[in-house]
Amino acid sequence: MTEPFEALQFSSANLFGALGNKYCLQDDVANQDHANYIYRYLSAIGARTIIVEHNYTDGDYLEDFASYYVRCYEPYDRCCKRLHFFGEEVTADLLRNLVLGEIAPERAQALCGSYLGFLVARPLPSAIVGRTILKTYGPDGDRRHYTVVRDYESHLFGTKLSVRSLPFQEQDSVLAACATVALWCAFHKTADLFETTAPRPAVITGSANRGGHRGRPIPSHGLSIDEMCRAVRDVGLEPELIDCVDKNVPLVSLAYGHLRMGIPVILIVEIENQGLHAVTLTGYSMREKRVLVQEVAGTNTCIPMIGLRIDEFYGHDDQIGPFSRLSIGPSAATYPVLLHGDWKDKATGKLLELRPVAALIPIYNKIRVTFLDVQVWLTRLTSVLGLIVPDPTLAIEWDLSLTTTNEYKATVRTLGLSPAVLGRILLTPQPRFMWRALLRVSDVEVLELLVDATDMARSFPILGAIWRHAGFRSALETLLKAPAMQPSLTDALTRRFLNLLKESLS
Amino acid sequence: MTSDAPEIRGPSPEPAPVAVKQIALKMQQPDLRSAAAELARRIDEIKKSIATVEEAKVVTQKLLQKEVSI
Repeated sequence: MTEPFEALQFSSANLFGALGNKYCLQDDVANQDHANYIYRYLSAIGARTIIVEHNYTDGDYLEDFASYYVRCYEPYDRCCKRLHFFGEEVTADLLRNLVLGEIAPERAQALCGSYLGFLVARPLPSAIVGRTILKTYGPDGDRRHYTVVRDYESHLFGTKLSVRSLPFQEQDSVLAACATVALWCAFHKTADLFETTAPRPAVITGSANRGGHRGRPIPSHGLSIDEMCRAVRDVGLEPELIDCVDKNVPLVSLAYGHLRMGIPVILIVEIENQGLHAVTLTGYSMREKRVLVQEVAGTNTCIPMIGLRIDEFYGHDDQIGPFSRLSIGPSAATYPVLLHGDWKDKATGKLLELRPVAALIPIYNKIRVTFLDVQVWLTRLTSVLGLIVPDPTLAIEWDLSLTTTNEYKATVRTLGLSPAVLGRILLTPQPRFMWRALLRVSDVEVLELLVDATDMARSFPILGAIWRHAGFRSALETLLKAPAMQPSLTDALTRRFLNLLKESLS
Repeated sequence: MTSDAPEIRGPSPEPAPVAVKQIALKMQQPDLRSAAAELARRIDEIKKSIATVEEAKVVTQKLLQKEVSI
């Protein structure tokens, strides 16, 4: 009987050898972009040991195998290898002792604590990177935020190991192209957030194609955006689709507004001279100062939002790897911003631009008021703020994000509010989902608006205003309550919004 | 006191006072008539900006038909 596992020192040769199979040899693996990306990624997060678990039955691959590979003439294997990565040196004897419970609990804890995740190596001629769950990069101070992650447990011969991440896999272009893989990644997080299902790639491609397709759905060469929306509906969520081309959509802030709560955003990008591609965003990098002047397309003007401080997105790009970096840069026209990652022209090696075309957000059906709905109300208020804030374009920043009442009530305790205000907020029932619009003036938090995300766009969904700065409150109170101001304020804000703000001051 | 008895704790400590940062504001004593006139002048611009956001909510059939296939 062959050994059930091997313990290898982490190196490129050992990784590529472990990833390979009889169809795809170590040298072939060494030439693959995914394998090289994963080697660099694991090196960066401190991998020191690879444990190769032979004869691993992977549910996702098994579904693909049953749907397609088993019916090929070539007898593809139904079992995979699972590669586990540790940040410590782990010998075969040490692992055996860990599994048998023959090492001190503190040592076992340290060993399990150094677990970096796993990768399922598929026994196929290409697309060998199957389900991969790897630890994220560190926060780099407080800059990197990986929000679209969840806790995963893996069991290595009965030993429980855990990692906080989001599954990734390479597209096989048979049962899943980029659109299917992007949805598959996103559904793993929405399942955690909204208790929906996380179907396997073959099921996603099948449900997306139900009800007619332009050609044969399998082998899959991609999905239309409409089909991607159908797959979202099939898991019990609503597809929030936002067109970004030539629109007044602050894309970076909009993505942040969902990512902050952990809601995945599937970014649909046009890759220079190639076509449309889908990437599941998993996080962002927030800077202290602005890095962008504008985040909307062309000549549109938008209220200043927090997205101007975000310089990178992180995403699961099935053509690149997990948590791959997308640098955000300005766009001259048409697109809100331009992105650059690891996409290169194969002939010239030139970095390719990724041009955001749309954002698709799988969202819970009770979240009905959208980011853009709230943006309208903030645009109204910002026009009034310009009367009291010098240089409002530079001084004002709106930080708009989805939250839940429980998360908000936990946050609000830390804000140093007066006991009366805090008590009122904590003891007042709130909807399950809310938009929190936090206003900063010159980096100081001065006001926040809570918006009922479960209401209707045409209604008046703002629940209340919380004043966070006495000087700002006083200046705005003078303005809002002045009789001479009432006609123009009513016109700019609407009567209901004006009344809500005035009532919140009393 | 038995080991099962609840631990008796003092009152929760008061939250540390938050230092109030000063921000520059244009109108501590606002000239309200000129402010009203300025806002009235900007109404068209505000409505135009809102209209572009409203327009952005519309998703076309053309977008839905686009193929995501790389």
